[in-house]
Amino acid sequence: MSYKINIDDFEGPLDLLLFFIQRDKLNIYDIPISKITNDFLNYLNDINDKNIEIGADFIYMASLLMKIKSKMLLPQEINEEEEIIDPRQDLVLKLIEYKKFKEISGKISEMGENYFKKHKTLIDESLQSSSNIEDNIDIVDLDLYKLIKTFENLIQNIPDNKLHEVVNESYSIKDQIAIINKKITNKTKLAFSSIFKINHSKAYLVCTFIALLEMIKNGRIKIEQKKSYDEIYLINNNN
Amino acid sequence: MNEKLIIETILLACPDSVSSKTIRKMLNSDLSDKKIESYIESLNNEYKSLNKGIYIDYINSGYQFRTHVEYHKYIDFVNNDNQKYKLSNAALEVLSIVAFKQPISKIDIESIRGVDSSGVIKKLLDNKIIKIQKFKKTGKKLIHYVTTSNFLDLFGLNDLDELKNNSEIKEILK
Repeated sequence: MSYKINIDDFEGPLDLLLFFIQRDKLNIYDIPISKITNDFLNYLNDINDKNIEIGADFIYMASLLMKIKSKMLLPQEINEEEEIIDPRQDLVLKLIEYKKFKEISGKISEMGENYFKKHKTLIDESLQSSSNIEDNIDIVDLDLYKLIKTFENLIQNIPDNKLHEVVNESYSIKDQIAIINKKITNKTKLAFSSIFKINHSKAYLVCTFIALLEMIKNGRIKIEQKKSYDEIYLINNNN
Repeated sequence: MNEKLIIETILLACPDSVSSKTIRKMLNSDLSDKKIESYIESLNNEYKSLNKGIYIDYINSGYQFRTHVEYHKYIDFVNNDNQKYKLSNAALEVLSIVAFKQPISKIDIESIRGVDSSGVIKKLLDNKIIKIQKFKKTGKKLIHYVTTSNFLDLFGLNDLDELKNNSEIKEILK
């Protein structure tokens, strides 16, 4: 093959197929499946030779292409409206959809490139929360992302023991739900930090966190925070 | 005191885009949107006639001081923020999909791209360019993503419609 193709040049199998279509000036609505399947498989072989791991997405696409190719050899299928079903149809639609967003992302990138040259006033990030006057001071529902980040920080603070003793830690989400339930039952709210103590093990904390998410999903509790970086509270929803 | 000058100082002191509503609240007056707009226009005209390096932009449904493009190379090194937002092609693809299809789940994003997008989504979340939509709003069990006001700020957009009405993008979507 005269073309040198780099795996990093492509965002995924659809991107690679689009490359073949553009390179060989193929009609996207009438893709020569046999040719493009061969190109695709050759490309995967090339990567394999370089000892680069082929992503599952590429392997899936290879099998899809071969399935379409074999279907093309079979007698044509006809749908309820007596139209011939083109085995390539789904793939073509996917390619067109992906092509649209690839083009839009190029356009957006251009917009960003131009706009980032118009600088705004710099601000110390630690001051950001207090300077943001658009911030609502009322109690706001906390979003899931913040909650997960808070937990991530908490987990990272746990010191890693160099010596490791294997102990049987058996926590269940059901048990942890019961524990949280017991703690919050007679209260209207509970501080997030009060159920996560640093001296607990990671397994305990993870289990408790999943239990907490489960309870939010069920509507048993709600989470609230007065403002960024404040204590997060679990609100008893049964009151 | 002169309302126009108060607005000018408010915008200078607040690095984020400031809406007409907030300006009214801070001035404690019932200035109309039109009046505020005319003050901004008058300020911009002053800067222009004095050949200043700054202007007030209408972005993210509010007003914000910005520097002119010509001076970019002199201050680029100070503003590390921009480095942080250098987006990869993968990130730009995910961002375009979220911008046009929001709220959208990870599964649907990956179905369009045909490739795993977890890492890219996490990066966009960390940089606050997209966020998780509240469950209450979607009523769906899966996590759905939407763009943030930070996204508008980064790309110089006033709102999402401005993106959808962009003539070149309209041409692509046809």
